[in-house]
Amino acid sequence: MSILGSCTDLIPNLVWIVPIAGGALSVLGARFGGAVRNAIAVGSGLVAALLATSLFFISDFSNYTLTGKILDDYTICGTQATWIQALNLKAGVLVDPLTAVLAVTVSWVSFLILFYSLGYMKGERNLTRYYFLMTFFIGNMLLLVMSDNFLQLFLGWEGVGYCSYALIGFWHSDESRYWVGTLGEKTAGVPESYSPSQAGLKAFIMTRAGDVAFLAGILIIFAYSGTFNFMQLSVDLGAKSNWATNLMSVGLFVPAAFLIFGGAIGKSAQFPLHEWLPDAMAGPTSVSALIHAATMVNAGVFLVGTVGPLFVQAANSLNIVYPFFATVAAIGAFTALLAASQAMVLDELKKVLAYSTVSQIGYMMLGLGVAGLSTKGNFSFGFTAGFFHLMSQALFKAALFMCAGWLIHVTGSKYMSEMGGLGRSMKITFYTMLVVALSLSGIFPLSGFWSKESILSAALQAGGISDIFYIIGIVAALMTAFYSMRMIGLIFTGDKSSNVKALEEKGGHIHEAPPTMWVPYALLAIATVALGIIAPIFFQQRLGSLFSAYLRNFGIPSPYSFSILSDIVPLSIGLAVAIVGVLIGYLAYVRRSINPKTVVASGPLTLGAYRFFHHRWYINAFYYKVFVYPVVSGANWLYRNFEEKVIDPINIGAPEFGGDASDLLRKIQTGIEEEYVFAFAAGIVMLIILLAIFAHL
Amino acid sequence: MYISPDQFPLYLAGVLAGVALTIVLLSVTGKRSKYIAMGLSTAGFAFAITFIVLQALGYFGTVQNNPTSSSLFATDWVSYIFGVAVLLVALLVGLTAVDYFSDVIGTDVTTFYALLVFTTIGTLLLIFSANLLMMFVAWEMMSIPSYVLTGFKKKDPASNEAAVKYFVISAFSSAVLLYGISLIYLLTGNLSIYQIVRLMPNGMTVSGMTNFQPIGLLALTFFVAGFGIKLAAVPFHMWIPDAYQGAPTIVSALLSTATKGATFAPAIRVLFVMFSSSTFQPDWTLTFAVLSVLSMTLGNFAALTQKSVTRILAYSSIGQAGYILIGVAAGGQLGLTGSFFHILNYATMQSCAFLAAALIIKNVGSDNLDSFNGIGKRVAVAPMALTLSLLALGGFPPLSGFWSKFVLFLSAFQSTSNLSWLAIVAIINSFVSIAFYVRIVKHMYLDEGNSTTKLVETNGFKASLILASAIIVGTGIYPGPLIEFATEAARSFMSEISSTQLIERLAFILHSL
Repeated sequence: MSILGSCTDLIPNLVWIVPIAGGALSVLGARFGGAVRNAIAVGSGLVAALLATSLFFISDFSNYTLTGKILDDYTICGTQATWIQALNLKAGVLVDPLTAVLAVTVSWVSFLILFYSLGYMKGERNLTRYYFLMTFFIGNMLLLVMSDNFLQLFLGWEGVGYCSYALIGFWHSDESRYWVGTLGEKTAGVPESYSPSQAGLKAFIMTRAGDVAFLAGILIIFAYSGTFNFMQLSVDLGAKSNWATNLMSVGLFVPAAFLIFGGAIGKSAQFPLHEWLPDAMAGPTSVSALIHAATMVNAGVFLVGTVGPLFVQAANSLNIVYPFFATVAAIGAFTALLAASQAMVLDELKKVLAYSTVSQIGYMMLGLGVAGLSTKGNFSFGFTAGFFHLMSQALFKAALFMCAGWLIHVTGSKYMSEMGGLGRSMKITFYTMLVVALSLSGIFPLSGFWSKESILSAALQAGGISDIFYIIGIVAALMTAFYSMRMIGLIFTGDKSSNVKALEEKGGHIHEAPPTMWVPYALLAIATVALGIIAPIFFQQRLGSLFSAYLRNFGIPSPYSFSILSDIVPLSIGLAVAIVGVLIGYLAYVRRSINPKTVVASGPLTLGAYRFFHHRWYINAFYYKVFVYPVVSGANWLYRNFEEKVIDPINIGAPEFGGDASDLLRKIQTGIEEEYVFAFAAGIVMLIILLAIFAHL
Repeated sequence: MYISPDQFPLYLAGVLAGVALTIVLLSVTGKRSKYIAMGLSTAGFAFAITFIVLQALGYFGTVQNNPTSSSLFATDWVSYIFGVAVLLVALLVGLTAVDYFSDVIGTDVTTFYALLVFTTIGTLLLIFSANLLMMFVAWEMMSIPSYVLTGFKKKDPASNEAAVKYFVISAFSSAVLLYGISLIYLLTGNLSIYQIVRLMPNGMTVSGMTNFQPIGLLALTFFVAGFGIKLAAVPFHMWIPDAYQGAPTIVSALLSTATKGATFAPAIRVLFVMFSSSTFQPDWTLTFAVLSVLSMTLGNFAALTQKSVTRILAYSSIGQAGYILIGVAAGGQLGLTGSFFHILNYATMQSCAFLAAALIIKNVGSDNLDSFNGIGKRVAVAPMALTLSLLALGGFPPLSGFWSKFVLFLSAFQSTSNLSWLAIVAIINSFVSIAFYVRIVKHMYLDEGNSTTKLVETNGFKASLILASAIIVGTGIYPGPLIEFATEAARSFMSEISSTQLIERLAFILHSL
């Protein structure tokens, strides 16, 4: 029996309602002072995290223990309430292993970051807005995760999108110190620096491109199935002729899947919609940690994890959905490489981390993609690996961002080259960041090692085209290890930069972060170590069997247990690659026996590659030249030629017509009673005539 | 406790008459406490609402009487929903009257309350009446106190002028109505609406006439003209702007909603029961479509350039009558549902708008649009309530007016008589109407006013406006029950399909959009 009695929908609902209510209450609380407001915001984050954790206890999948008891099935939690009767729409929550894992990860990381904000945002202005948006974000993210239908999910989806936009542009007065990118730097004539408000807008518009596709996909499915509900969609598949067969007969099944994946691409910043995330770093670092590293960007992965199995069930064979999963895997692998390559050459600390996030999410997509490509039918291996990496990335990336927040704050610079030699003055931050960076690099036995290698193993196991993805993944892993070490080396070792020296001469003191800040990231570092240590068992027995049960619900045969230890060869290859990457980074940036500058300058190939990476593969410039500038100039043209010459006359003409007609009608109203009576009589005559003509007796 | 549905309206009227007489007695004995009058009348209205709700729930026995009986009254869903709506408006007005007349010299608010209750009794009896003579008596019971209410500001010439204009035109409406009734009696020898429908074919034998149809058509004309005056339908609308502007604004709220709603109920009974006999079934679709187009076009366009808020609202009332007539023209269960639904929403929207305007006009001393400038900064509830009600009248989702307009337009599209053009005209009109509805909002919130001193909002007004706003927003977000009541009421006339089927059909249409 579950600890909290029978399955109830109260707690799953509270999970997302509490933070939203907390956000609203914190605004009220602000009237009684900042401390009250902060306490409400952080408190609601904690309550949400505790409630999310309790999902494991109220649901029957808590029966499963590490001792190896096999789980036959789990109970789905949650009832539904009528929402819009006319559409037969019911609002509800759904608790399955996927949502429970996501909710727990999201809520705990969110809580730690809220706590970190107490220190990080101290002394900032407009904190009421900040805390409201942060908690509102968390609530929407949890709503997205917990909802049992597409429409509700989409509401949360747009809610987090809005909060992301508003928080990227938090410093909306656009002081130059808040800009992201280096002022004056240009790629093919396109400026590479953005003000916070522009970065917010960019994020909003780019993700919106994906959202439009997503919405179209949802509506196509709704048009054929008449429901938004995930369970209902799955149940309806039992009929011989169902929405999926109907969709397939008109050839819309795979397109709909791709459209929905479009939303995932936008939200998770995958190629070709990845360019918004690096510039989203214009927001406060705590925001970057929460939204642009640990939670919201995972929404796309979650979406694929929600619809992927459904599509497999609907198609009833992997062959039909093969293009979908192949695309997911290909985009994931390519994005992992694309972003990792750019992270190697950047000087801005947060941008390195941003590209790293894009790259790591690419890995997750790769994992989910190869799950569907698996020729051995082992869907759950790649699936589990993808979500394991999601958890692991959330831990170490949030920690990395929080460390970065402190570093940028204390040195007053966002460039790594303006830090240097900080290791001695802040031991906790140094060791924390070293541990999490090694986890990111994939060094044994940290969680990052297990999660990344499990994805790569899954790719190798899947065979076929996945072998190519495996190779791309390995190359990206090499780059990842290199840039992680480069980051550590540039920041903490070597000589102090002129910026730091100047700071110290002015009497500034480079020191350790206050506990409100270092405790959260140190905790996350410990968590990444702990997760790494228990990973072999946890992955195989806990997560693996949970997801196997989840997938069996969709009729996907999956073994209950599989091991990442069995594939010792890919594991050692992966570890070797990581070590090589770390070693190169160590030699170049810690030991400094290789001078990276001379390497880059050594030949046209290396120089060309450096420039190519540095200019973001020219993708951003390309987008601006192809999409933004033509649209802007087209809009200007339209304004001059259409708005001023066509619309304006109509806009002025139509009301004038209304006014003229109105004046005419007003003249009828003379105010003279005799005329009113006459009008009345005339009206009766008119009625008689009308009735006589039309009555058809 | 058992109450015969045939006598239920009499109990209702009796209770309210008791309240009215008590107020009069208090007034005569010199205890002219306006607060006692207000308390008594609002309590009376609230009690009457409860009484109707209990009857509708079957608390007193049979829910509906047999409409074909010779009873004077039809106690059915139409009566229930219109009765509650009218009482609600009376309650809203009653809450505000003490405050509204607080600084008008030479008025006795106690009398106002007595008249308010008397006119409400008339409207209720009119709604319930199923007999032409009863209907006419109730019609007069409703009208006569309302003339006095219109001229209640004795020292104000505009108020007096309004009362006289209203009285003269109303006298004509009573006259033509009576003429129509007499013609029907000539044809059938009966006055009971539900019996006439069966007697119509035998009409020839009563008067010995062989061709009764021209007379029937004439009677129909007189009924439409008579009802049209109170419904503010063009071309019987001429008195409306002058009377609404001149009357005390809270009385305009009453006239434009309670009177109109109460007129609509017997109008529908006469049209859809009495004139639906198998031998005499005039096709009035196009006639009403023309009236509808005239009403909404004139109402909406004339409102565009008005400078006075009360006149804008008066023209809005004419325009809304046009929308309501769409349902009558389209006919069928969907059309009637739309009309009922819209008139219920209209009652709260329009009365809320007039009451909010009344508060502002009383405070700034003018109903000129420019004097509404910057009101949004000077007072909280009234401009908010006015904005809400105007947006609802304009049909903004998710406020209540949106849904009923939607059903009305849908009924035109779905009508067997191919009334798509009417729906399109109505949609264009809706767009035009937004211009003047939003213009008032703009003046209140965006324009700078001369003064920034705070205005006093008294509790009576606040309570009334918040109640009305809550209904507008509440029924907008959750329109389900109201649609069901309206469907149930429409079923008394057209039981083509059951209410659940109709809702399913609505859902299907929404779905396929």
